[in-house]
Amino acid sequence: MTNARVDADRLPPDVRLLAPWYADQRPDDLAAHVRRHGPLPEAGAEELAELVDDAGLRGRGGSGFPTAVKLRAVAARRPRRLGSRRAVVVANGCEGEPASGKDAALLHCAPHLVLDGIAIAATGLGASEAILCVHEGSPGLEPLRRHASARHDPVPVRIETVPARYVASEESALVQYLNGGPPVPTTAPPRPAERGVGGAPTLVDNVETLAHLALIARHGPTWFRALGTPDLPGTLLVTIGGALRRPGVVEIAAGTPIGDVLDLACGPTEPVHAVLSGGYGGAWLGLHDPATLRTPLTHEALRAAGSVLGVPTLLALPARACGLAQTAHLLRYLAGESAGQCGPCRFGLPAVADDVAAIVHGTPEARRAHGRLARRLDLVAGRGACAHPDGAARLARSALRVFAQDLKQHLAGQPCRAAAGAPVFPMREPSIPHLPAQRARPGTGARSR
Amino acid sequence: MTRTRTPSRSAAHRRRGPQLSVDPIACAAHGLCADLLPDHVGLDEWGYPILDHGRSSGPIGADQLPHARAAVSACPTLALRLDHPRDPS
Ligand SMILES: Cc1cc2nc3c(=O)[nH]c(=O)nc-3n(C[C@H](O)[C@H](O)[C@H](O)COP(=O)(O)O)c2cc1C
Ligand code: SF4
Ligand code: SF4
Repeated sequence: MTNARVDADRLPPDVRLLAPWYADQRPDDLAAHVRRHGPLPEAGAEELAELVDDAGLRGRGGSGFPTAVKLRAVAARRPRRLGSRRAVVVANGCEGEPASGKDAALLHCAPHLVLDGIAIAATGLGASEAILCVHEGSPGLEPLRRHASARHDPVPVRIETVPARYVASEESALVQYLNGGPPVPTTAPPRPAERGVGGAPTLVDNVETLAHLALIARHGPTWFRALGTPDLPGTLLVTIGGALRRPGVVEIAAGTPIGDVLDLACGPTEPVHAVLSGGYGGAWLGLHDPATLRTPLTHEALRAAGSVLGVPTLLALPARACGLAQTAHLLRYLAGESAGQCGPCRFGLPAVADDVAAIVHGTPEARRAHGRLARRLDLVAGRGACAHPDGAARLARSALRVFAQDLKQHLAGQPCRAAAGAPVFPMREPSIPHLPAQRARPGTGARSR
Repeated sequence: MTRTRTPSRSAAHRRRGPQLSVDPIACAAHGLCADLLPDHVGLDEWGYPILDHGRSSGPIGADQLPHARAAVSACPTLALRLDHPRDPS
């Protein structure tokens, strides 16, 4: 990724969701939105599920779960008898991942595409309520309220604010909070599709997922699949950050190699030695391995490379920063964001963060900490009510693998000078939405793949 | 640090039977389950139960079933569930 530059001719022509931004760097109001995308289509639940199924749409909230399966699960529970409840649609725009800015960017640039997606899902499912969740204090809140009130949807969208904590936007936590409880995850089952808001079958989808759904309903599955890969069709919003010249949010065809995505940031600001993919609960990829930059951004390819797509973020770690020390900072952050409900997460995450910190400091304790770390990682992964501890374990494991050379030094009592370095990635919510990194020119035409 | 107790790999794991699962939010680390069903339940260093597969056990054989039932009813926070497999043997 050294000496990477934006080459206007190589820009991927894959701008769908962020079209308003690339056209004139202004959000679309309702009139501009309708001019760009045409009127709101309508589809029944099964018709919609079929379209989405054919399009191969997978959730953009991190898991990549097939959206059609969730739609059908909620549709299957629609009222058949008197007294049963009509469905609820919840759009998850909280973006709990501190390194990610894609949902904020989308809600800023194309709010009506998200609101369309909510409206289409709500109408199709015959929903009684539609709720858009964003973080408390989010700077995009007021414009969003204005955009929502400009519409005349059959099921008006209610905007709810949720505390800005990492696990508060996990789907069961959202549901519990909307039901008047604390914003922390609950035990599944029941899943929201079975019993969610007000006890009703509830569709919880990421805002980007719903924006894609709005375009699929208009243009169809074949159009959607013209970009992306067979397993992950369509485009992805990716946050690129760290030691890059133009950090921000970009829209790329799914399956674009990591190197090409990073190129959109006009190259690094300084030498870079690793990339963190998938957010703070993701995994490091070393740039000493030439395969890293060729890895396509798909769930499967990143998993095979030892990382995850998760919430698509690529953070470039400057070579002057110690990967192990940065991992210790991130683990401390993740431990602090535990809801503290499940023992293995409440006690395990601080213990794992302590062990990595001991390794970083290279004290005599380092070897003992390293010895028990592998066992402790097995004790936290998969043992919480939500996937929060799994992400922390994944991050720690990847650090031991990718920074194996540094690890040896630390265990030998010779930590590098960077071991005392401060966190290089953001630890709290950004105060303003990340705007998409501007490209030199908006992409045009269709790239053949 | 306390030593981790892990369940022994008994032949009962392979047999068909209901599975025990723990609700990690409800569990308060009383540890009774590990005392009553040591073949399937160990405790981690913080006192929380480790089942054969993280949050759920393998199939519990007929010989262990009374112990599993005892664990379910002994759990002070009702964190344990015994679920019967879908296909009857
Ligand atoms: C700890 C944790 C935090 C999460 N935070 C978010 C979030 O901020 N936004 C989001 O869309 N999904 C988040 N998710 C995933 C949601 O639980 C849920 O799967 C998602 O909103 C479903 O949307 P999708 O199917 O469109 O991806 C989180 C999951 C976990 C385990
Ligand atoms: S695993 Fe952690 S974050 Fe998730 S519900 Fe349990 S305590 Fe909360
Ligand atoms: S008996 Fe219940 S509360 Fe105690 S450790 Fe077992 S599951 Fe947890």
